Amino acid sequence: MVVDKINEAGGILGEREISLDEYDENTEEVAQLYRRLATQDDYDIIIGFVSSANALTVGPIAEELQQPTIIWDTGTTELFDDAVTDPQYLFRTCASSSTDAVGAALVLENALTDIETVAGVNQDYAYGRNNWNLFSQAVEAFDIDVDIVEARFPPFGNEDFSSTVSALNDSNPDFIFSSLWGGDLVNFMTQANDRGLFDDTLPCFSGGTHIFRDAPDQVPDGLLFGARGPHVPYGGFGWNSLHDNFVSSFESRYGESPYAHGAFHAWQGIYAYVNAIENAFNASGVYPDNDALVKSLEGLGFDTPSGFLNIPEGSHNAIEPSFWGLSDSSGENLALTDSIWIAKEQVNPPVEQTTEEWLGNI
Amino acid sequence: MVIELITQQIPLVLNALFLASVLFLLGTGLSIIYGMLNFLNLAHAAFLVLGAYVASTVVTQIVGVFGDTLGTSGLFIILVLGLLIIVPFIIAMVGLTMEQTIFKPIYGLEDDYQLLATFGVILMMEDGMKFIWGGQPVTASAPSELLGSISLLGGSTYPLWPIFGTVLTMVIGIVLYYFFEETRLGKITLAMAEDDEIVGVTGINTRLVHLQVYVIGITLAALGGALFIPNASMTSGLALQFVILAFAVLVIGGLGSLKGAIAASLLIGFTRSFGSYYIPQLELAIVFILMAAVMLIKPTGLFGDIKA
Repeated sequence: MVVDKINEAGGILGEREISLDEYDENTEEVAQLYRRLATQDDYDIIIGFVSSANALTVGPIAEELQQPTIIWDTGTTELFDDAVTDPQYLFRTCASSSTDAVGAALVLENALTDIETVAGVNQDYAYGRNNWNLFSQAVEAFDIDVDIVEARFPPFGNEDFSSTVSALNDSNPDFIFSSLWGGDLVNFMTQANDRGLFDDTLPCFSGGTHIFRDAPDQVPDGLLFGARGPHVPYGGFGWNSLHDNFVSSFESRYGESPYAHGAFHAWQGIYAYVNAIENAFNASGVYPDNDALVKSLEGLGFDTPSGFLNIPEGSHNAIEPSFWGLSDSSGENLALTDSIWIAKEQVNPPVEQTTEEWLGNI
Repeated sequence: MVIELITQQIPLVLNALFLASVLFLLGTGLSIIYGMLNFLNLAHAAFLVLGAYVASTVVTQIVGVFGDTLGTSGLFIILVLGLLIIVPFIIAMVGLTMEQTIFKPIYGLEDDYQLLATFGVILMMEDGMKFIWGGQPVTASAPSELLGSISLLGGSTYPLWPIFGTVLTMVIGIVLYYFFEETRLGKITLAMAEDDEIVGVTGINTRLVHLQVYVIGITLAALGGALFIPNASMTSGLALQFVILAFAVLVIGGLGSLKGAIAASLLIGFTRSFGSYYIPQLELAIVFILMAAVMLIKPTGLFGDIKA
């Protein structure tokens, strides 16, 4: 949809249409696929990846092949803290999990001061483990006065959460931090609702607003949701015109609202590329080659449907504010209300530090 | 302290029984089809997933058509009838079509070829389901919501649907046992499992019996999916989870044994429920550990023969 809109307006710089090919990242051979796209098919840019494992796999290959690559949705902080520590060609145009996990800890510290006990339920793979590690580190780093009473890591792609829910019910936490997503989140919510888990426990789902679309009847009012940044169609406060246009275009094209943050992340990834080219061209008068393109991506900032997005100078990772709200079905659309915003600088490490170093030194 | 410990176990036991019920419906079908038709259908579990997807559509349609017009009890009864009759019927039709076109030509092949071929069928079915229902999770929670929940000892809330599903599965289990032990068709089926050529010599249409057993197996898997989804959701990719669980029932219980399927389902259900609660680190591995342990002790499975 985004590429079509750009092309309808004449393309990049109003004259070069984007030729887009789509590939499924859900393959055992993601490394081979990536190498083929980068070498034989010779794409100008490769944009994509949701899976943490896939991004961690292709990141070093992007550097090895000097292939400009934009990771648009993967959250794990390991991408630039461990896998690619000196990136030249690899960029991420969405916030890392630091925004979500550290943000959730700061919500506890600043807005939910009566919370005493905390539990976690996160999928047992790179993204889930990374989120819980960051959250528990942040609780310690900010010296938040809560006890962590349970940490559960159900397998990714799980059909049965009943024992996990029973364990959480028995530990009776005031607050649950969870980065569950996809079918696992819907399964967990369904089984947790049935078993009364949320009767006296406030869950906090850091990236789960897609459930507003997938299973709206499973979303009680008053649960705390994040959207991997301020990526919600409804709620929050007055959004810019880009937001309104994006939401209405999405709804008219797909017949549903963009409740999944991935839609906003896709917009950001594609426009990061377009803006970087146009900035480079406007500065030099020459259509940029690979090196000029990556140089232009460094320090890039532009307006998006979710507000101003920037990749700080010296970093290859965009930063975004941490955004939270309570599920609210009272209006025409399911929305996040009573929103909490935390400034991007408060939930991300300084450029010269890794997330772990930053949290360790607070 | 002791009372608290006991009350803590009640939801785990109920969780285990419901999981065992779904596994029984899944594993029994696979087991009788292999035991009696000698057809190792890796794709059998995909019929459970298909059953869950179809159940989601059936529930959505029923709620859309009848809405609030029937009252809570009326709507619940219609939904249950939809899950127990319409869903298995649709899946049986799909299954029969696939039997005629895809499975029949591979009946005579060695097990390993059947495994390869039916693994391909899983991939095809997964893609087909993705094409029809999309990659997003689907739910069908209306029956469970209408049934409501109860308060257990200790004050915890527990949904009635898993209890309902467990009771229903027990009834199905009894009917199956009666079928194999007491009915003519059941006895013919058991006899065919021993030697279908001899049975064929007596003038019995063995192909028809094959088809009937196959449809029973597929229908059971569909019922498993229909009972599973009101308390969960279905998404693409879960078929392989159920494939593993179905084969765990087959390996632990023994090929072609109804008693084995019951015992294996209960064993896996309780091991998984209590194991996930007390040793969550082993949640993924616990079924494989159980399989390995049973294979070491009794390689043919707990009831490794082909009697009911």
